[in-house]
Amino acid sequence: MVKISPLSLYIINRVIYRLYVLGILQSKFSLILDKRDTYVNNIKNENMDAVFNPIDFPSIASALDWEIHDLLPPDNSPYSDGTLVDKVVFSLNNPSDAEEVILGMKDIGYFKNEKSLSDIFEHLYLTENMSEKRKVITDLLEKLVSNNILKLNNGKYLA
Amino acid sequence: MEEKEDNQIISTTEHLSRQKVSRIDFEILVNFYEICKKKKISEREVSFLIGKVNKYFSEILNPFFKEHIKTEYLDILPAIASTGIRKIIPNDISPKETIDIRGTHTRETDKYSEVDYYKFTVTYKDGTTRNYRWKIKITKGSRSKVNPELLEILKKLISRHYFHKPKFALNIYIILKSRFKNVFSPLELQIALSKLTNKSVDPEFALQEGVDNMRITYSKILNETEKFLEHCQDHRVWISRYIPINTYEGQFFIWYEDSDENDKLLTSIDGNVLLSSSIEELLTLLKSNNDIFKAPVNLEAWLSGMEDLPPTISVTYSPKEIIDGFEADSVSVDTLANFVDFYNLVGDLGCQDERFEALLEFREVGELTKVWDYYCDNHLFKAKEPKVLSFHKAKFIADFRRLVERFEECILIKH
Repeated sequence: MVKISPLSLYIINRVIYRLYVLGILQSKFSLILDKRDTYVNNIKNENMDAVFNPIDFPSIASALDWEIHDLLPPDNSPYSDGTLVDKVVFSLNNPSDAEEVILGMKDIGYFKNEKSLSDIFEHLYLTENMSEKRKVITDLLEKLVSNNILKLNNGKYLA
Repeated sequence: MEEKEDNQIISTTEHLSRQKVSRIDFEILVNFYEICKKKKISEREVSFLIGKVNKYFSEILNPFFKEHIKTEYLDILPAIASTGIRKIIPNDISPKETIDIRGTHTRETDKYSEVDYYKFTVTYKDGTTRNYRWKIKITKGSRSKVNPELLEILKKLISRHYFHKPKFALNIYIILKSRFKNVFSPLELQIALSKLTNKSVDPEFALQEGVDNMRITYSKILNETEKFLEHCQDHRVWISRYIPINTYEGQFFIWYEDSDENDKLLTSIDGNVLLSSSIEELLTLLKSNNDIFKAPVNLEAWLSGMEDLPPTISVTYSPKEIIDGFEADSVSVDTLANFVDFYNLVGDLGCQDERFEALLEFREVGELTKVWDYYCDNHLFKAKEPKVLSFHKAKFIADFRRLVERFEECILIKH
């Protein structure tokens, strides 16, 4: 795993989070930015030191229906002294990252209409071979239903 | 170009322009520069805090030149200018937005300084414009007076091993700022560091410059012994010496941080602390192992990585010396520190195995904990209101002797 600056990592993770929330495929997003279809995938790769370049921040923010500042940490964040950190990228394998995504989807109104588990998998581009991520999402949905954050009606999820 | 012989100022002016400059790159530079100017942080100081040579930032500021702040350095700009990243990166730029820059660059040089004047106009995509006037002065060969107070602080940091690992100028600046508010400027720090990297400085405090991720670092020039101790620190394995209360002959043992993050003394499979009468014997024992003990995770790397470095003791524990120190009229800080080291060692042993647990009872007695608390509050964590050390000396010594006796029984030192 390579090391990159904490700011670059923060921005990568914000972008990946937002892509999941909006249900945008990474390769499609790369093309929206006028890049090669592997662009975001390379940036996501924990063994490559690729990061987003500031010159692309306006295009990235616009394509994510965000302002540039939505990509950045808040101003009261602790100062970085430039020490690089491990490139641990936002992933649906991680239950807390997955929860952030589902709550983000709820915030943008995704669950206003009933959604089946397969709708949600499709939104997140979780194909059948991604069983680990599918399990994380399934367990998480169960937890959110038991915490009354989502409702379950005839096998469909609703906010 | 004009030349004035009387005051020896040489002045050159160029008319320059750049088209289709990335607006976001330009505005990041401008926002950061304007905050620095407001806070009176010079271009040279910015370069120093980024970890670059003095002219680095001045050259980036040239609006007619292609350079801009590198992505990997965006991260440290807030710390340099004591501001938030959102104050530096603008929010209202359109995708792929570019600007045109047109103006003049005048350079005036004389014996003492070099001044760059940039007068330029930025034209935005909607046709609106904004004028800029920048003056960047570099003083040549100015004498630098070292701030003696700052130099002493840096020497203290050096003696406390802060520079055993390379540090960026920004690391040091952040530490100074948090401990001494805004007393020292980046320039003063740069001057003090250059004094310490000078070859004529006392070797005990000599620093060297290095490079990490294209940024200048400062680290102590370590002697062989210090390199060995640093090797121990990296692997969390140390050689310690215990001098039993009734003899002068030390017993050597390994103190290490286990994978559960607890500090422990290395014990044999049968649970006894592994003691040797010399470092050489201890190392031979460790290298041969022969299933006598369960090796800590880092032991093999520690043994193989020490190469030709001279094996050295990290701490010596001498209860007799501690008692002598407490019997003196006034108890020195060194004596207190030695007591606390021993007290912690007993705590480590007491916690690592049920068979040593009884030690903890002998440790948790009034006078001993009182002195330990006093030391931690006043010397380790610097209490806001320092307390006076108040304890019953005779009772303390009696309690301490009992603790030592029990400890020596546990590690099988015969009386």
